[in-house]
Amino acid sequence: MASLGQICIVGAFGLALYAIVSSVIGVRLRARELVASGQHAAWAVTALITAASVTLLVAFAVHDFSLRYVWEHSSRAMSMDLVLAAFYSGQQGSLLYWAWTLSIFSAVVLWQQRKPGPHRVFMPYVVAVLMLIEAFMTLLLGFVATPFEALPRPPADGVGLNPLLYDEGMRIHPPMLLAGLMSWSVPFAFAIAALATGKLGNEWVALSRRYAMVAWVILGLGNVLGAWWAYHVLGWGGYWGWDPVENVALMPWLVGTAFIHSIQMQERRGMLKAWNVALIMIAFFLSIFGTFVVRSGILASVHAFALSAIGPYFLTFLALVILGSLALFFWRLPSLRGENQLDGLLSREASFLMNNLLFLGITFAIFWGTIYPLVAEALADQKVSVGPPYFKQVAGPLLGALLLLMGIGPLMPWRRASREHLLNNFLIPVAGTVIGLAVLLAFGIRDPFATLGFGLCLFVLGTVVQEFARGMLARHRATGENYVAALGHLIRRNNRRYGGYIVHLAILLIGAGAVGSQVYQQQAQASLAPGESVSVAGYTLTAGGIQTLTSPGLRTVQAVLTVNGQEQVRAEKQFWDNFPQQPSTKVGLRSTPFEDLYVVLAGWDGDGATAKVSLAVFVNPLVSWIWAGGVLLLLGTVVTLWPAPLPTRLRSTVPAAGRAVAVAP
Amino acid sequence: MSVFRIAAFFALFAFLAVMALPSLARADALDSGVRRVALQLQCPVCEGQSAADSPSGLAGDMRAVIRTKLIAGESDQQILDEFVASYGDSILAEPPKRGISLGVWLGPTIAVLGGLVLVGALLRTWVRAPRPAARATGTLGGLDGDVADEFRRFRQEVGP
Repeated sequence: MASLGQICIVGAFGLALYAIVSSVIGVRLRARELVASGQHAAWAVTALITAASVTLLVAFAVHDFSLRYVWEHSSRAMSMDLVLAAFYSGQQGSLLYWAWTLSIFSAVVLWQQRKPGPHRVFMPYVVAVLMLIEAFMTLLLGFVATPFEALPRPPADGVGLNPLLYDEGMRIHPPMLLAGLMSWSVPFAFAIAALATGKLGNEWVALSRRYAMVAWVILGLGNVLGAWWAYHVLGWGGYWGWDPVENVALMPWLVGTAFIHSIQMQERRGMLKAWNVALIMIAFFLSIFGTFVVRSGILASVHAFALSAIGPYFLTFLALVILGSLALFFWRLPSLRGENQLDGLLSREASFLMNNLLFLGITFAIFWGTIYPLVAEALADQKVSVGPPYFKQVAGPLLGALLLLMGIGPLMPWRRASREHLLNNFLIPVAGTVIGLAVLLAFGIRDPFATLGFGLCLFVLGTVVQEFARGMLARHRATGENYVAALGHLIRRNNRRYGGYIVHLAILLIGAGAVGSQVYQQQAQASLAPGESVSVAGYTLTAGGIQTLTSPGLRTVQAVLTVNGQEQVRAEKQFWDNFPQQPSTKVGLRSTPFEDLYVVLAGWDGDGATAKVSLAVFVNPLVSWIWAGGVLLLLGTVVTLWPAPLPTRLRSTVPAAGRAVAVAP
Repeated sequence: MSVFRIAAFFALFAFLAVMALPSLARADALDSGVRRVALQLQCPVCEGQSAADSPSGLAGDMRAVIRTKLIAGESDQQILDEFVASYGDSILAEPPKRGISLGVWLGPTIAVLGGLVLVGALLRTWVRAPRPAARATGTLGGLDGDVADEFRRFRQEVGP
C-alpha cells in the first residue's frame, strides 16, 4: 500500500511538471498537440492523486497500521466515519487532501472550458499555473511530508485522533476550510493567464467570477463551521477567538470579498483592471500563507498539532510565486490601464472604492496583529502578545463602517446620485432604523455599542427589504402577477443582484448575532452539591451529581442538570484511553432562537449521584443567528450562481461598455 | 430641504444613541469582575487563550489571585499592573500602546489613513478625467445611450 500511494504521488509530480512545460511550450510555438498533451497530463495528474488518496482511505478503512500516518491518527475503537475523516486530521493527510481537491477542481475547469471559444486562449496558462501549484504540493507529499511512510513492525492498534477532533465538526469543518483555501487557485490561474496572454479585458473576469464565488462560499462556510465547532467543543463560551489560525483563514476570504465586489467596476465601467488582478493575487497568496500557517505550527495556536520540515519549502514557494506574479504584473501594467473616470463622489463607483479600502484595511490589521509577535521577536527579541482586544478595537470600527456601506452602496446609482435619488432611497430605511431603535430602546437595549451595531443592522435590513419590495411591486404592476410570483420571477431573472442581497442579509444575521453575544453575554461559575442551584439570566440550574459512561476507548463524565425544574442539560468531559491527560469538553447546550444556555463541566468532587460539580454557565444571546447566517450565505450564493434564464443570458453577452446604469426599479 | 431632513434623522439617531449611554454602568457581581479582569490577561503557558478561558492550572491560580485582590478592594487597573510587574507586558491580552507593542497599533492606523488619502486622491483625478466621447447607441429612438440602457434594464427586470 505504502509504495502504491508513493508511486502515484511521485508520478503525479512528474506529470504535473510535464503538463507545465508542454502547455507553455505548446502555446508559445503554437503547437496544438503539445497543448492538448499538457491537458491530458493534467487529467492524468487528477487520476493519480485520486488513486493515492483512495489508497490512503483504504489503508485507514482496513486499519493498516504499517503506515505511520494511519497508526498516528486512527485506532480500532474509532467509528468508521471518524477513521475516514482522520485522512485529513494530520499535516501530511491534509496536504494530500488539498492536492486532491485541487486536482478535482482542475479537472472541473478543464471539463467546463472544453468547448472551443475565445476562452481557449487562456487554458494552456491556466493548466500551467494549476499544475505548478500541484507540482509543489506533490513535491511536498512525495519527498518531504509523505503520508505513505511505512513502519517496519506494524503495531496492533493505532494511537487515535487528538481528543479535540472527536466531534461531528471533524467531518465537515476541516474539508471545507482546506478546500476553501485551495479553491482561490482557480481564479488566480485565470488572472495569471490573462497577464500571460495580454488579454486583460473582461473575459478573464467573467470566467473567474463563478470560480471566485465558489471559493468564497466554501471558505466562508469553512469559517462559520469552524466557529460552530469552537463554540460547542472548546468550552469558553465563544465562537471566535482571533486565534492565528482563524485569522489566516479569514484573510483570503476578506480579500476575496473585495474582489467579488471590485470586479463589477471592471465589468460595468472598465475601471480598476490592474487592481482586480492584484486583489486575486493577494487572495491567493494569503490562502497559500493560510495553508502554511494552519499546517506548519509556526504561530502558536490551539490548532498547532505538529511542527515540521515543510516550513522552508512553503516559504520558498510563496516567495517565488509572489516574485513571479509581481514580475508578470508589472510587465503588463501599461496595458492594465482602466478607463478610470468618475462623474460624482456620491456614486456606486465611489462606494466600491470605499468597500475595497475597508476590506483591505481589516485584512491588513488582522495580518499585522497575527504576525506582529513574530516580527517583534525577530527584530527586537521581545515577547509581545496580541490578543482579542486588539482585533476587536482595530477591526471593530472598520467592520461597522463596512456595515454602513453595505446599506449605502447598493442604493447608490452608477455614475452619480442626485439629491432626489438619495431622498427617495434613504428616507424609508433611515426612518425604519429610528423606529426600530426606539422599539429596541423600549425593550431595554441601552448599551452604546449594541445600539450602534443593531442600528446599522436595521438600516441595512431596511435598504434590502426596500429593494425587494420595490422590485416586487414594480413587477406586480407591470405584469399583473401576484406578489409571490412577482418576487420569485424578480429573483429568478436578476439572480445575481438579488442573490447578492440575500448574502447581505446573511451577513446581517451574523453581524447581529456577533453584537448580541458580545454585549449581552452573561456568565456565572458555581460549585454545586446535588440539589443545589445556580441562577443566570432567568435560568435556574439544579445539580444532580455525575454519571460515568464507558464505551470502548472512552470514558465520559456527565453532569446532569435540571433547567427550571423540567428540562435536562448534560455537560460532559470525555477521556480517551489513548490521551488520558487531554480530556475534551462537550458543552451542554440548550438553544432557542434568541439565546443559548451553555454549560461547561469544569470539574467534580466525589462520584455518582452525590458528587459535587463545578460549572461555568453562560447565557449567549443571538448565537444561533450566526449559524442561520451561514445557511443563508450558502443559499444566497446558490441563487447568485444559478444559471440565468435565456433572455438574461442573451443580455449578458452585450459588451460591458454598452451596458447599463443600475437604478432601483 | 431634503438634505436637511436626512440630517435631522441622523441627528435624532445620534441623540438616541447618546441617551442610551448612562445605562452603561451596571453592577457586577464578583464572578463577572474576575472574568472581566481575567479576560484582559493572557494565560502564559497556553498560547492564544486568555486567563479567563484557559482550563490550565496556572490560569486557575491567576483567577484565584484576581478574586482575592478584588475582595481586598483593589481596582482592575491595580491588579493588571501587578501582573505586568511580575510577568511583563506580554501578559496583557491587549498590547499596551508603548514600547515595541506600539508598532502593532501604528501599522493598521497608518495603513488605513494612507489608504484613505490614496482613495481620495484617486477619486479627485477620476472626477477630473476627460470624458470619453459620447457613445452612439441610440437603440430607443434618439434616447441618450445611458437612458436607453437603463430603460432596457428596467424592462428586463419587471417585464413579463
